[in-house]
Amino acid sequence: MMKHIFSSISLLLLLTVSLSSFAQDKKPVKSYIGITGGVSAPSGNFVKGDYDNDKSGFAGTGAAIGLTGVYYFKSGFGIGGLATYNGYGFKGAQQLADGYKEAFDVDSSTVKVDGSNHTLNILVGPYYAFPLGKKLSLDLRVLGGLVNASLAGNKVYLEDNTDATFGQKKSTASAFGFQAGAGLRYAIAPHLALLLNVDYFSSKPDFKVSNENRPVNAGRLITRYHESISGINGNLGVAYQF
Amino acid sequence: MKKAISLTGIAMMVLLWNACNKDEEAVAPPVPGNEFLTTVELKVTNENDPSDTQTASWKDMNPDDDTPPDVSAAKLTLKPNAKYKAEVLFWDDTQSPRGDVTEEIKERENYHLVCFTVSSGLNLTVKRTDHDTNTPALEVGLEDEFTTGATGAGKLNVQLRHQPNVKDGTCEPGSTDADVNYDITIQ
Repeated sequence: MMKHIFSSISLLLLLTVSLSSFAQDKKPVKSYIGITGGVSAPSGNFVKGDYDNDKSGFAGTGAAIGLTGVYYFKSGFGIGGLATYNGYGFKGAQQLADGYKEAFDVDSSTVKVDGSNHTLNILVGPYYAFPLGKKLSLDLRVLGGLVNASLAGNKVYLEDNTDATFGQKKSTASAFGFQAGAGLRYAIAPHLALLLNVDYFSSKPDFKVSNENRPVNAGRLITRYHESISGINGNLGVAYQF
Repeated sequence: MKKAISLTGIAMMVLLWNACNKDEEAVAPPVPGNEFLTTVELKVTNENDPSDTQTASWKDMNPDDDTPPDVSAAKLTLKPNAKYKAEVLFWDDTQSPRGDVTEEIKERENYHLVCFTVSSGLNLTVKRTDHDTNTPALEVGLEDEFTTGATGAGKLNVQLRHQPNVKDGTCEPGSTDADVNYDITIQ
């Protein structure tokens, strides 16, 4: 997956270099700050919802919102960063309920999800911009920084026995994360532009997971979750250029 | 231009709203037609005389209605001052061949417990000898040791307790999967 992304980005870079060399109306690249919103589509174990697989993260395709800013030098290189919130919700509560029902051999079980799977990313790194015309430019970036991730918890009710209720607590973990991608920026006014971005992101936080009321060795029990949170972000935005 | 900005703003609000997911809840409801147990057997073997092996059987082919169980074979005659290796066996005799429920209980031993109650006047002591894989390990009761005393007679009540996530070594928590009585004579 990652290999594909980098191949695509490399190809895009080559194409852009070719295009930019033919661009007739090159102008110094403008710096900008903007807000973005879009879809975040993780892949791998993080999005699996298999009760029997301890690596399942029960995340779904989510939303990404963020603030971004870049300062460009005359050479076309720039330094920038972004702060984004990627919300993945929780997908697969029914699988959990069915699994616990089977594991404890009870007539019914209810799972209530506590919180959501999400990440807060603060990343910085180099940018390079190619003017593609009077109004259009392409921004390439490779960013690294801090990812603070949260794993949803849950409460499991077995039939109507309140003493048997148990749960997995919400947990958070921080890790280094990186993001690489490209974006088109189209000026719609002297200081205003629309953004269209596609990025690959990846981090691997190491969650220590606490559980409540697990006196017997039965049923799915997660005490650690150390799986990659990676995928593709696609978003739109508006930017103030200067 | 303003329209474009407004549309972008609206799109972002929608995305933000989606990002703030409400807590999810899911219920796995009861499924009718689960397997059940119809027969509870006590198989005992005299530790000093392996030829002294007996099986007592309590059977209720219609556990969901008021039809009384068949207790005609729910009897054991034990020798006084003896030790018996005992096994509690659970069967589903509505199936052919008969369904082995004991195996299922063994697989789920971490939240099952067999409990014994001896009526007054019956000189019998029951000690569970098998353990589950909980930490620390707790008794299960599918395998036991019966120790008899002086002659006498009485009832031995056997209960299979289902203790999902509440097993603590005692008989109190949980619910009852089976509750049967045997007539025991020590002579």
